[in-house]
Amino acid sequence: MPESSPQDEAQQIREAVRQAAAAGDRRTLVRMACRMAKLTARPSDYAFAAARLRELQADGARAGLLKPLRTYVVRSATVEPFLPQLMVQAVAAGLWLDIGVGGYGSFIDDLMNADGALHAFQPDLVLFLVELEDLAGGLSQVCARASAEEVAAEVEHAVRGIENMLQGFRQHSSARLLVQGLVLPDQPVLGEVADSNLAASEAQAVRQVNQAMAEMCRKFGNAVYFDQDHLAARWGRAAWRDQRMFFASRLAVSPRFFVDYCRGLARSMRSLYFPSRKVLCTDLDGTLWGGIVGEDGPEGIATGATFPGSCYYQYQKYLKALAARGVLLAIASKNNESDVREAFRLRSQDLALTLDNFVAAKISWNDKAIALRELAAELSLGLDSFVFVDDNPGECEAIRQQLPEVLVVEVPKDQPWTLADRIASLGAFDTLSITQEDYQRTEEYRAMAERSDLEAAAGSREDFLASLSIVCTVIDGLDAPLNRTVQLIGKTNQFNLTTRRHSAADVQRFAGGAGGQALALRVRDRFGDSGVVGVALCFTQQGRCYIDTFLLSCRVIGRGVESALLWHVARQAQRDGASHLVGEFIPTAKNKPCADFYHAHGFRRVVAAPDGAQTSASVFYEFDLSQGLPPKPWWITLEEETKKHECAAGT
Amino acid sequence: MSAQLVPEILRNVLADVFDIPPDRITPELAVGSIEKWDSFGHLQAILALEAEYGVQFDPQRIPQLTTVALLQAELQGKGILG
Repeated sequence: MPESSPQDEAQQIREAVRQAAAAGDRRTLVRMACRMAKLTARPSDYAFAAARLRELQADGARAGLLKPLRTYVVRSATVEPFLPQLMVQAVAAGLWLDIGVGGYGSFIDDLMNADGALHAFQPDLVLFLVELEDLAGGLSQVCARASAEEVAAEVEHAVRGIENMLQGFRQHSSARLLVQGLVLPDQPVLGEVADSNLAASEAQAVRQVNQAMAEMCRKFGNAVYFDQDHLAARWGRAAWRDQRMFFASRLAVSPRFFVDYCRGLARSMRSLYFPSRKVLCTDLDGTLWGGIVGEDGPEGIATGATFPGSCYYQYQKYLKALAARGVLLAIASKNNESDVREAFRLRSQDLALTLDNFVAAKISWNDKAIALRELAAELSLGLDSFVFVDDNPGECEAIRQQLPEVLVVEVPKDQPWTLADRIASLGAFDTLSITQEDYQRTEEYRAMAERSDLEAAAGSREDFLASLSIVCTVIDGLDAPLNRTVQLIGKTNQFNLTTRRHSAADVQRFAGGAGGQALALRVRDRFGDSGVVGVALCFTQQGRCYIDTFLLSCRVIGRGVESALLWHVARQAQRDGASHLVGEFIPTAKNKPCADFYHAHGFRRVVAAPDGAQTSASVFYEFDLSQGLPPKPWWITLEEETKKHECAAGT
Repeated sequence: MSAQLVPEILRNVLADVFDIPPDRITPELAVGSIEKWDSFGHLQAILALEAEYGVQFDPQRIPQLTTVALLQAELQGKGILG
């Protein structure tokens, strides 16, 4: 059977989009639009798909398939022609954009003016897409004079201007922000030889402005720097801007690259809203190494310095780098376990990984869907945290069908050299910050496995827990550090009572309010330090302390840590003079494990929402603090770190 | 005049960009006569045709190509559409 060309496939998907739209089938429409976003570059296809998506989104309640975002574009060039591509690529990244666009010349007013058009739009997300000509228009001319001091002054001037704009914006808006970096000049004014040899380099100056913008995003919080130059370099800086269309219509990016550009924007936007995947589960034969260990023997598999083993070695090194920054590695393979152990032992010189780099391995002849379910249960993680890599198209299809939450990567047939790049280009492990906890994660999960061994051996549960010597330290949520607090709020799903995704600014508000609390919890035991794994946010209204947010990383649940944190919150509320502590539970698809939490801690169910709250899905519970405090587990040592901020405020 | 006078590919591309049925793409359809054919819609149509046919329009001619018939003639002048 002849294989169908990409064009044919795009045509078929387009037809499927049309049918789904006609039938009002939102789910299929979104799925087909995602496939279209991978397949086609035709502008008319994007115009068509964007119109169908807009129709269906407009004529009914949102089905919760996509994250809706009011998105305001602050710009100095023409963006309208690529909005269909942007909308469709955003849908493929799980986002629904409701777009408003500012004027060409009004980007400063948009950002700085608290009564301006941006503020009136009430955006959730702002895209800052302003061109070099408009941020540092004099740069070229200054570089032409080749004075390093003047160039440095011009860079400084541009950076200060951008910083002022963004700070002005932050004062009146808590919207999240994407800041687009500048493209390095393909034809610097001094010519490429002089530019790369002289101190007054234009390329270097633009790079410095970019680095300053990235630094602003890190300091700002809730902001992502979009490295446009990286994309331009990938596709060719000389072609990235089509000068004809730039001068005629002020299009800053060549229409040839609209799709790649919008895909890059969408990938960066996504990182502001969705946590990255946490586990990479790899097959062995034909994936981690070449050949079949059961047939070719440990000496026969391809791995190491010579081709094609070098391709697999590269993939192993890539996995090892992922593990170092906190991605958990696991194995799901159909083999005899003894063959695999022998291969790892005999070929250790030719393998970049050892079995110790994996937190878990499912090596058997069982169904891989079952193996993945077991892994998810053992690691206390959702299947939507998994990436599955396999060379067998049948296995891949089975996982896609049975476990649609899992991201499946099929190893391209006979092209092992493309594997690492293919996984990297998916952006499944994109993150905006890497914290101390991420570095320690593999060890932490291995310690967890040891703990469950001990649990099986120990007698009573409480004696077992006491043998762990658990120490909980309550710290200020602003010092956790704050980006860790916000990271936990953003990604914790299972033991999360309300699943409210608060920003850094929100956490600061809780901390600053009268009778407010913004706490983080650090946990360690004799097997290791789990780091900061819990957050509680409270506010007080008319003598009642409301727990707005209460969450713990699921890997510390079941040891009384959650009770210790609740006890501490209650005691603090009591000290602040509150009469009652009010707990709130908002059910989601994932937080069943904590549905009974307040009830189990002696809270009484009540109908009592705080003033002005939109809480239709909420269930409220109340604890009378005049009767004492909720139970505190005897086997846990609870410490409190002194609060730096109180001291600072007192001076 | 009938939409049949407009070659099928041209008709389909413009129908997508302007979000109207292909049978409404007649030779005399013009800028400003439908909601989506404003100045940005015009630019979108031009870019879609350039991508579809692998051609480039002269930027000075672009503002003058204000009807389907004029777009069609311009493409024919580039040796496309017979």
